[in-house]
Amino acid sequence: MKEQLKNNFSLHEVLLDCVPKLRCYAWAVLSNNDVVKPDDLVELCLLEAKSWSTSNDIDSPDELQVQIFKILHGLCAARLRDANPSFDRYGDNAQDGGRGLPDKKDRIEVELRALPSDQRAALMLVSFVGFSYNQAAGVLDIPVAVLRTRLTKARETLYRRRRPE
Amino acid sequence: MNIKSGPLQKGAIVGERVLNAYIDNELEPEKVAGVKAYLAEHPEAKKRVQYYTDCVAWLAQVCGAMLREPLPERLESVIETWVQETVGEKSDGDPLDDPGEESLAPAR
Repeated sequence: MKEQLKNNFSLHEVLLDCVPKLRCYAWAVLSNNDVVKPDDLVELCLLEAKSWSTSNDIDSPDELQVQIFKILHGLCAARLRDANPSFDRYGDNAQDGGRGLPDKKDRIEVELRALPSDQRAALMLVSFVGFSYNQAAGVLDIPVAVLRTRLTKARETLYRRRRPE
Repeated sequence: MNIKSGPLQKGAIVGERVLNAYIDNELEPEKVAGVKAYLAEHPEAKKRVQYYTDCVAWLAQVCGAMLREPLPERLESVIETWVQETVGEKSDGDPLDDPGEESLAPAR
């Protein structure tokens, strides 16, 4: 690990900053009636990231955060597929979105959850976590152009729902 | 579908992608002034941009409680183990090359 953390940054600080955001991301992307809880996946993610870090160079805190989110995204995507076999690709899962949620808290949460999960993921990474387009596209393993499309669609949908024509 | 490089031409229609890039600070600096001028002349687009910007605050609001609450013990435990193992390995080398140990020291 000595070689891997070659630049002067505090792993502890990076993790303390990153983990609450990971929990929020998993909470927002997973269905909220899933038996697998967001913290289950965050814990698994951290264990995988720790293992990954022993054999990979980490040049900066940003790089580490992107990698951790990438691992979590993979776990969330796999979970969504497992929970819903009709899921033919990550995203477009509006079936748990919005109107029928049993424990919806307020309109904002409902609007967020009503988005397809691929759009929710893009919005969370850019607008909430604060990743650049390049970083978010790296986490989701998609081209930046696709990320832009998902973001645009997500915001347009939120806007339309907010102000019905 | 890339956004064309260079400043925006006067009278150009500013699309959704450009507006999104503008609020995400992903727009080329030479285009920012053009978008601001466009928004000043197009109240509907300005309203959209304000709404999109508000989304950021909403997400923070929705997730705020989770961000502020203490981490569950099991996650704390994984973090501590990871950090300790890292510091332990690094301490086998040059202690001056150990940001983890330094960062964990209490502030004076």
